Amino acid sequence: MAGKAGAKNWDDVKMVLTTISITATIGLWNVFAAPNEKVVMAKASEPTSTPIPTATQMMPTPTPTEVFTGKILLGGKAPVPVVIAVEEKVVKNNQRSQPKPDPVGQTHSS
Amino acid sequence: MIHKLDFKAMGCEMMAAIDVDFLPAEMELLPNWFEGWEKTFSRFREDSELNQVNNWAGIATQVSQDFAEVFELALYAESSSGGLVTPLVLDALLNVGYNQTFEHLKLRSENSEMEKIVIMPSLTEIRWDPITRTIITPPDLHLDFGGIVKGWAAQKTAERLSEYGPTLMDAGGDIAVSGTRAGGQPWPVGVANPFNPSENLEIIQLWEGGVATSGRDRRRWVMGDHWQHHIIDPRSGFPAKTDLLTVTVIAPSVNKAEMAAKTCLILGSQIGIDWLETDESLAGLFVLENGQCLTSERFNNYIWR
Repeated sequence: MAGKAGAKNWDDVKMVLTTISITATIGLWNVFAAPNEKVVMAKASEPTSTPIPTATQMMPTPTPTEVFTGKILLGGKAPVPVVIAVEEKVVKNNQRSQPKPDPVGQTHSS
Repeated sequence: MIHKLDFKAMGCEMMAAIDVDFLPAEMELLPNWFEGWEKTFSRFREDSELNQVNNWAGIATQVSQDFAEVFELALYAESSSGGLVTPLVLDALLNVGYNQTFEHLKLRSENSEMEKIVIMPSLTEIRWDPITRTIITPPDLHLDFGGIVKGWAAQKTAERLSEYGPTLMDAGGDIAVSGTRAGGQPWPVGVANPFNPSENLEIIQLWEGGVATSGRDRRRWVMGDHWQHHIIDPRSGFPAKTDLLTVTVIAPSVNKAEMAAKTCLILGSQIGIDWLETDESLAGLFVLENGQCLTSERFNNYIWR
């Protein structure tokens, strides 16, 4: 019975040690990530450069990707949203020409 | 669905088209109709009704209903054209060598005796009673309906077949339609290029009425040292001297189109286009001898786009 109780206690110790190490890791990470926070936020709020659409008719209105403004806890570069505008070829109605039909008759001098 | 029938008559290629699901049996009678009209109106058949009237000068002759209709049409054409389109050019045509069917006409004749002056008669010299359909022609006056009878036949055919379905009748280039095709679509009709008749200058759309082309590009021959053609200018009694090669006119009826096309051809491009513009029911395409094309303002409304 005593052996069993001892094993249970050892498990508890392992659990405590694991909890402490995880907590410490996260805590230290936040400490070192804090200096980069300002840089990250500044980059995230920069206007995104979108390709200028060339002469198009009926350009589909791109929905701008929302800029992430929350805290980035893990540091590094913020993802830069990229808007890709796909040119859609649209032919104006008055330029749309139907193929001429085969004539049913032909007028000529007789 | 468009059914077509091709046949030859009046020295020309004929084509009838009808937009129906089932071909009416009446279509098979078309060559017979034209054969009957040719017997009535041909100047190349000795026993035609036309030649009987021409031979019985001074004698009161009762003519058939068809003859009466075409004669009335000739009266209308002469008055509408200011006398330029008249059925009294037969002697002038003979004078310049058009003395047999064009198929048998020698394209080069050494005879150059056509320079004699032809005094053009007037239709007022003919006594005509429309009630009894009785005609009395003076001596030395001879009728020829060659300039209008094909259009009349096209119109007549389109009207007769219209009870079966929308019809287009092409009588050697004179085209009548009875109305729009099934579904309200217009008929597409080509306007031949006189320099290359196998191709079209334009495709026009016809909802109703008709279109006709008059020209000196086909029926022409050499007599003596001069080219002759069959469009006689009644003011001179000789083939019209004009800068136009062909004139195509769209009108509320093919008969009116034929009259207007011939009038413009004789008048020439400048006066002709002005004359055409005075009538809002007409639209025209002129092809000059140098290849240039002129269109009236309303012609663009008919171009197939």
